[in-house]
Amino acid sequence: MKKALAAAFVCALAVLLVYVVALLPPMGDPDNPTNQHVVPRYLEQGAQEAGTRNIVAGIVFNYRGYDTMGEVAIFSAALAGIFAVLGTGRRKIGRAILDESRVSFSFVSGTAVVLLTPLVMVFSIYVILYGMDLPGGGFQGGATIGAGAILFTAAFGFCRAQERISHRLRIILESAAISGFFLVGTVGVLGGGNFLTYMLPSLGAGAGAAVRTVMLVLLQFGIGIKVGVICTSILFALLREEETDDLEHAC
Amino acid sequence: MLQPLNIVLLALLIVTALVACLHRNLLVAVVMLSVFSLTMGVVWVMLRAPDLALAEVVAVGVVTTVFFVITIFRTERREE
Repeated sequence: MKKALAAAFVCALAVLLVYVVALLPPMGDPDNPTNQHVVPRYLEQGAQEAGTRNIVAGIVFNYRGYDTMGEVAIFSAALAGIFAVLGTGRRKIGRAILDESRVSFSFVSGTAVVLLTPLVMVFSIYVILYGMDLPGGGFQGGATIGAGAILFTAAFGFCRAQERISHRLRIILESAAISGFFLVGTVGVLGGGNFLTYMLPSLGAGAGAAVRTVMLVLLQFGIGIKVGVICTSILFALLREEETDDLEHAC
Repeated sequence: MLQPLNIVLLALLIVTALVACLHRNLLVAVVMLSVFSLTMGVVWVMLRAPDLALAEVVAVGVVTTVFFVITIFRTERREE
């Protein structure tokens, strides 16, 4: 009886959902409500107003700067939650599960990772720097940094990876990134505009555009560093064992 | 819209999503989720959204998958 009721409910819900999907406007139609409201302005004046040839970056950082700021704050909250559950790894002696793997360290994989990791890092910086003009930006570049850290940790183990990116360094980078975001936002207030205004009214058009580009690149770098550090921190927090008596393999 | 490549990609999306939901082995499910997001990245590129494709492939396809795999290895598995 219960199962029949559940099945009937699911079927009714499915029929309803399919019916609603059939009522949706056709995909890509220029007359759709989503293409009528603010999209024409973004597409026609975005390059001049936002100062970025990549319209998506212009929307994310200029028109919707507040939303991006909220996302950055959410990242910090998520990291704080993970640290609260898994521990920060500051006081106790840690040991990683990856380092006691029965698969022995392979020369081939080590060499491949040594060759690949710098390329991944350079590519991530390229993605961040060219986020204004090409697809990409701070989020994607930061996630690529995290992928590079994962690659290195998978080949060389938690201990050697943590030696290179220590907990203290990660705290400094993370704090600098989020403070930098708010500082760049405050520059807009000091220059006579609103919070997260990049085109300062007190400067002329030429100097204002140059300052705007510098501020946008700073924001991209801040978000990139922040996302990369958060990915690395979550990875280390997941890999760490809490306490160990095996001091030989501890780090 | 319904070119052969599109049909193959969308069918792959449906199959990988179903396998990720229904498979009993969690590792297989996680890898299928990764395949899903890589396919989704190709679909985003075909829909002219390269920004989203990059984020999808790197964040979901690589980073999240690794986090899931580590979590599976660190937790115990019980079945009824």
